[in-house]
Amino acid sequence: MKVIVFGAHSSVGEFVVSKLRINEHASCAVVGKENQIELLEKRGATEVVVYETSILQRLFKGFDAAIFLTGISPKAQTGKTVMVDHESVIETVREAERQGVKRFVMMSAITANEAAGDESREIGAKEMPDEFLRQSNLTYTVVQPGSLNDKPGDGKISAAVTLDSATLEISRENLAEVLVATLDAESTFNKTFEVADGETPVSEALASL
Amino acid sequence: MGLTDYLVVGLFVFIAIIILVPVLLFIYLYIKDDRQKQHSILRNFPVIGKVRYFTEHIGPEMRQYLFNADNEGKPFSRKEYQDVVKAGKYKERLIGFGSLRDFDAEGFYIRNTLFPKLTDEMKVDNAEKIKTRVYKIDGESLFTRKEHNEEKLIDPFYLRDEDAVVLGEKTCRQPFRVKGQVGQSAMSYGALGERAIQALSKGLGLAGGTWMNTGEGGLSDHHLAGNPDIIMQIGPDLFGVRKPSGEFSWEEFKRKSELPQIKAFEIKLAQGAKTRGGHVEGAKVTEEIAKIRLVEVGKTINSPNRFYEFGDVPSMFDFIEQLRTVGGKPVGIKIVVGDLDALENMVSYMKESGKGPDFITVDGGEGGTGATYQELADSVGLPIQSALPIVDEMLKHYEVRDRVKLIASGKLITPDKIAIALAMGADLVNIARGLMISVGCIMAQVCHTNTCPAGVATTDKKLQDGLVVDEKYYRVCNYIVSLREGLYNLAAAAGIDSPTQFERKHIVHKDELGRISPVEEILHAARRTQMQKEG
Repeated sequence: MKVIVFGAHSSVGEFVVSKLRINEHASCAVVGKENQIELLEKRGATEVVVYETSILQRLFKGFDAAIFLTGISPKAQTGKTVMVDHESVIETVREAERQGVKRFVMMSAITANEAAGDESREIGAKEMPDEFLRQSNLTYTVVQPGSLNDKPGDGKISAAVTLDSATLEISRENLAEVLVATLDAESTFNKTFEVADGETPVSEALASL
Repeated sequence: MGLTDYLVVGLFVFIAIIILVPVLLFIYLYIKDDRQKQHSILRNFPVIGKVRYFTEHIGPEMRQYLFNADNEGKPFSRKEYQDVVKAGKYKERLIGFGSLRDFDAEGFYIRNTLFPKLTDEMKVDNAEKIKTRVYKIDGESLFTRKEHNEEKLIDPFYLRDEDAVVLGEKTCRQPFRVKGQVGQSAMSYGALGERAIQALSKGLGLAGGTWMNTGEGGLSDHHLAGNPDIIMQIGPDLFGVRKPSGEFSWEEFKRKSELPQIKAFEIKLAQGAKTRGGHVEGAKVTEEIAKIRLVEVGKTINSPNRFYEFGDVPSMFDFIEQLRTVGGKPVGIKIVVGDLDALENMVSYMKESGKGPDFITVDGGEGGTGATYQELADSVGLPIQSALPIVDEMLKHYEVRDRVKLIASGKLITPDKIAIALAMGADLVNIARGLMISVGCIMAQVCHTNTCPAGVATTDKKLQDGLVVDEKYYRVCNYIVSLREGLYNLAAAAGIDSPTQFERKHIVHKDELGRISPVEEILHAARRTQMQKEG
C-alpha cells in the first residue's frame, strides 16, 4: 500500500513511518520543515515532502491511504482550550477525498468528544474534523488514544469504542503500530475507537472491534 | 533467703556493674592516654581529648551532609553532585526557583542571542531511539521516597552525520567518527573495580556516540562488556602492549589495533598525576591483572614517568607515525599544559615536519581523578580554562589546527561547563568523575585506599557487592544523553544549530566587579607572561 503520513515529524509520526517500513508499505512523510527530512529518511520513509499549502491540491495523487496525526493532546483536560486548526484538517480531508484516496486514518484523542457538547466553542473544535471525516465518502478510522508516553512498545493494547478508565496511557510506539495496523484491518473501517496500552496483541484487539 | 532478697542483691549487683564498668573503662583509657607519647592533646587532656579526633574524623561526612551550603564543597559541591545524579537517575535537569550559582563571583557565561533557534531548527540526529530505564517518583514523605524505574525510549541527541567529529580523517586507514562530543576520560581497570568498569562500558555502549578511555592500565574484558567505542591509552609503563622484559611490543600493539572496538590510541605524556612513575605492589598483580597488563604474576612493577621510546618531539612524532602505520588508527597524545615554550616547540615542529598527533587531550590541572600526591594535584599544570584557549590559539597560529582535534577535561560535568570548553576550542570533552558519580560514587575521597564505600574505586569484592551493574549502567547512559541534550539546549540559546559550532565569541568572562572580557584576554595575558619569562 502507498501511504501518505501527515504530521510525520511528530513524536508519533516517526514511529508510524518506521512501522510502515516494517510492514512493507511505501510511505510519503509530510513534514513542516526541511530540517526534518533527514530524520524521516533515516526512520524509513520512502519519500519526504515539506508541506506548503500550494501543493495540497496534488499531494494525495497516487496514494492508497492517508494517516493524519493531529496535535490534540489528551492531557488537556475537560474544559481546557485545545488549539486545533480544524479548518485546515477539514480542508485536507476534502482534498484527500477529491484526489481519490480510499482509506483515511486519523489520530485524535480520547478527550476529543468532550468539545462536542460545548456550543460556545470556548474549548475548541476538537471533534469537528472527526465528524467531518465520518460524513465523507472515505473509508475512515478515527483512533482516539489515551495520553502518550515514551515506553517502548510491546505490541499489546486494549481497544474499544469507549474504554472505561480515566487515566489511560499508551506508548507512542504502540499507537503507531495501531495506526498502521488499522490500514488494512476491516474491523476498523468506518469506526471510531479508543486505544490504550493493555494485554491484547494489536491485531487481536482490532479484530474484536 | 527468699526471692525478694535475691532480687535485691541482683539489683545491687546490676547497679554496681552499670557504674563500675564505665568507671573502670574510663580509668583504663585515662591511664592509656596519659602514658602514650604520640598525641600531646591526649597526654594533657586524657579521654576528653578524644573528642577532637572523633569529630575530626567524621568532619568530611558531617560537612557534606549538614554544614556545607549547597554551593560549597570541593571538588564538587552538593549541587553539582546532585545535578549529575539526577541526570543519571531521572534523566532530569529541571530546577525550581532560580539558579544557585554565585553571580557575584567571577566566571564564564554563555552569550545568548535575541533570536534563539527553535527546537525543530536544530541539526540533531534523533532517528534511532535508545531503550533505557529511568526512575519515576511515586510519592515522597519525610522519611521515605517511593519510586520505581521503568523502560523508556529516549532521543539520543547524536550529532548529524555531517557534523560528526572525525579523528585522523586524513592520516589513518580507519579514522574514528564519533557522533557525540562527550566521552569517558581515562580510568584504568584496577583504579576502578571490574563492576564499575562494566557498568561504564555497558552504559556508554548503550548511549552510543561516545567513547571509553581505558586508562594506562590496559584493555580488559570488562571494558568490552558493553561494546563501546574505545580509546586505548598507552602510558610509559606500556601496560597491555609490552614484552615481558618491559620493552614496547609491536606484535601486541598490532593485535590490539586489530580489535574492532578499539578506535584510537592515546599516548599519555600527562604524568602530572604520577611523576614518581608507576608502582604496583607484587601482591596486587593477580593473574588477571598480569594477563591484561602483560606483566609477570606476583612481581612488583616499577615503571618510569617518561617513555624510554622517545625523549624529544621529533622522536615522539616518529613513534606516533609508526604506531599509525602499524595500527591504521588515530594516535593522539595527552598533555597537561604548563611550560608554554615546550608546547610551542612541539606545535611549531608539527607545522615544520607535517607530522604529529591526530588529537591532543588537554587535561586541566584540576583533572586527575583518584589517587595522587597532594603537591601534584594542587599546583602542577594550568587549569583547563587557561590551558585550552592557549593550545587552541597556538595550533591556529601555526596553521595546524585543522589536522588535530582537541579533547578537553577537568571538572566539566554539566552541559554549561562543557559548552564553555567547546567554545574555548575543544572539539570533544572527557569526563571521569561525573561518570564515577553516575555509577554510585558518593565523593568519600578515599580513591587511594581501596576502601571506596560505593564499590566504585576499589577492587575489593565485598565493597563491590554494593554496585549493581544492571541498575547503574542505565544511569551512565542517561547521564551522557542528558549532557548531549543540554548542549543542544545551550546551542539553541546561543543561536547556533549544533553544539559543534560553539566559538570563542559565544562566551564571555565576568570578573568580581562585573566587568566582562572576551576569551582573547586570556591569550593576551598568556603571551605577556611568556614574554616576561623570556625577557
